[in-house]
Amino acid sequence: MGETFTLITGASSGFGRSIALKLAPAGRLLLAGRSTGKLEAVRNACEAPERHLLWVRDFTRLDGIGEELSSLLAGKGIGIGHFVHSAGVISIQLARACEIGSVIRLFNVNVFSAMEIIRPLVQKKVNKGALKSITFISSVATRVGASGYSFYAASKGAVNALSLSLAVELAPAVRVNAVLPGIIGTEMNRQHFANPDFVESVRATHPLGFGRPEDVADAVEFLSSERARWITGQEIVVDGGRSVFSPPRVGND
Amino acid sequence: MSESCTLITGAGSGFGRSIAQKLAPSRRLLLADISADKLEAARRTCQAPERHLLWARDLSRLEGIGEELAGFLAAKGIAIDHFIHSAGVFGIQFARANDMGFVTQLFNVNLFSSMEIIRSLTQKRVNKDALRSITFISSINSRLGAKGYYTYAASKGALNAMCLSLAVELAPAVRVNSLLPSIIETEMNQEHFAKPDFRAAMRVTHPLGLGRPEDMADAVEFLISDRARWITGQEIAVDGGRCAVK
Repeated sequence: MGETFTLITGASSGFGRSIALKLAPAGRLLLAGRSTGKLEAVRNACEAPERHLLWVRDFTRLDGIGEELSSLLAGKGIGIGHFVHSAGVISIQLARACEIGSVIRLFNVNVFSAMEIIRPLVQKKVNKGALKSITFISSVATRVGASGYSFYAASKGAVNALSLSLAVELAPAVRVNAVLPGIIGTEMNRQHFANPDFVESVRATHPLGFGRPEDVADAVEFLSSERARWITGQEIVVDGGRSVFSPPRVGND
Repeated sequence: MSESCTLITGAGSGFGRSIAQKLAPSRRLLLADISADKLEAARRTCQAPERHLLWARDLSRLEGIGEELAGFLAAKGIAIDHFIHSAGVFGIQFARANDMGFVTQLFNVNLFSSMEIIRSLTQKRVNKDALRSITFISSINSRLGAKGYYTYAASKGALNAMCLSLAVELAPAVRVNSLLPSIIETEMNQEHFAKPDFRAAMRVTHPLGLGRPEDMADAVEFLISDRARWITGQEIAVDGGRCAVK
C-alpha cells in the first residue's frame, strides 16, 4: 500500500486553507478545490510544498467525483487516511424567493459531494482500508436560526445528521465528527467584515471575541489525531460561545 | 378573502392520512400525494369528504411544484393556512455503495419539495398572507445514528435546521416546528412489525411501548392550533422515550 494522505476539500481559501497550513508539517496533503492558481498558492504556503498533491475539481458538479478520485489515488499509488470536508458555499435567500437550482448547487458542494467522495474512500479495493477519520465543517447556523439562512442551515443540518449515522456505520475503523464554527472572518465574508455594524454585532454576540480560521484548524487537527481516538459522531461547536449566549435586550419587552 | 385550507403532503398513507383524519372535522383540507387512488381513499375516511380537496403530485420531480400549487390555489379560490409536510420516502444505503440517483430522489421528496411549496405559500400574491404555521415531519434518526441511515437522516437533519431559520425569518406571522417520530407501525413497515423479535426489541427501546400514527396526528393538531401560539423553531420528539434511552 502506498503512502497515506489527508484529503482537504475547499483547501484554496478560508477554513480549508488554514487547515492545510496546520496539518502540512505532520503529514502529506491532497488539496482539493476549484482553482488551480489558488490551490498552488496554498501549497506554496504549506510546509514542504513538494510533498503535497492537488486535485482541481468543481464540486457543484457531482458526476464522476468518485471515479475521478479513485483514479487519482490509483495513478499516484496513494491512500487517504483522513478526509476533511471544508468545501462549502453560502447563499442567503429568503424563503419566498427560493431558487431551487441554486439550493441544489449549494447541497452539491456542502453535502452530496462528500457522499460521493466517501464512497470510494470506504471501498477496500480503492482505499485499502486506509481511512481513519472524516471531519465535516458544519456551522452553528444549525443551532441558531436566522432570517435568510434556512437553505444554508439545512445543508449543514444534513451534514450533522449524516456524520451521526456514518459514525455508527463506519465504526470502529473510521471516526466521523463535525466541527460547527461561528462567524469567522475569511475571504468569503470580507465584505461583511468591512461593515462596522456587522463587526460590532459579531463582537457583541461572541463572548470569547473574534474567532480566527486557526481556531477551526486546531479543532480539526485534534479530531483527526489519535488524541481523539474515542470520539465519534459528535458535533463540536467552535464559536466563541455564540450558540450559548443570548444578547441582552434593551428595555423590558 | 378566499377560504383557507390546511395542506398535508403524503396524505395518502401513514402519518399523513392519520393527520388528515384527525384534522378533517375542524378544518378544510388539501390532501397531496403521488397516488390519486390513495388520496381518494384517504379522503373517504375523513369526516365530510366532500369538503376536502386533492392534489395528486409526484414530489420527487421538482419542476414546477411551486407554480402548480399557485395555479391550483388560484383556480379553486383558496389559500393555505397551515402546511404539514408529511411526504417522505425512506431507504437504506451504505456509504460504500452511495447512489446519487437515490439520494436525489429522497432529498427531492423529503426536503426540496417543501422549499418549493413554502416559496409559493409565503408569497403575498399567491397565498394572501394566509399562512399561520408550517410543521415538518422529521425523524429521530436525525438524533440517533444507525448503519445505512445516513441519507435518510441527512434529509431529516436538513429539515430540522431549516425549521430553525425559517422560524426566525417568518415570525411573527408564521410558526415553524418539526416533529421527530420514532418508528411507528404503518403500511410502509408492516413486514417488520409482523416479526415477534422486532416488536420485542421495540418494547425494550421505547419506554412508553409502541406508538400509533394517531400519536403523531395529536402532536400536529396541537402544534398548528392556537394553544401552541408561542411555540416556534422547536424539534419535538414523539418517540415513546426512545431518545431518552439511546
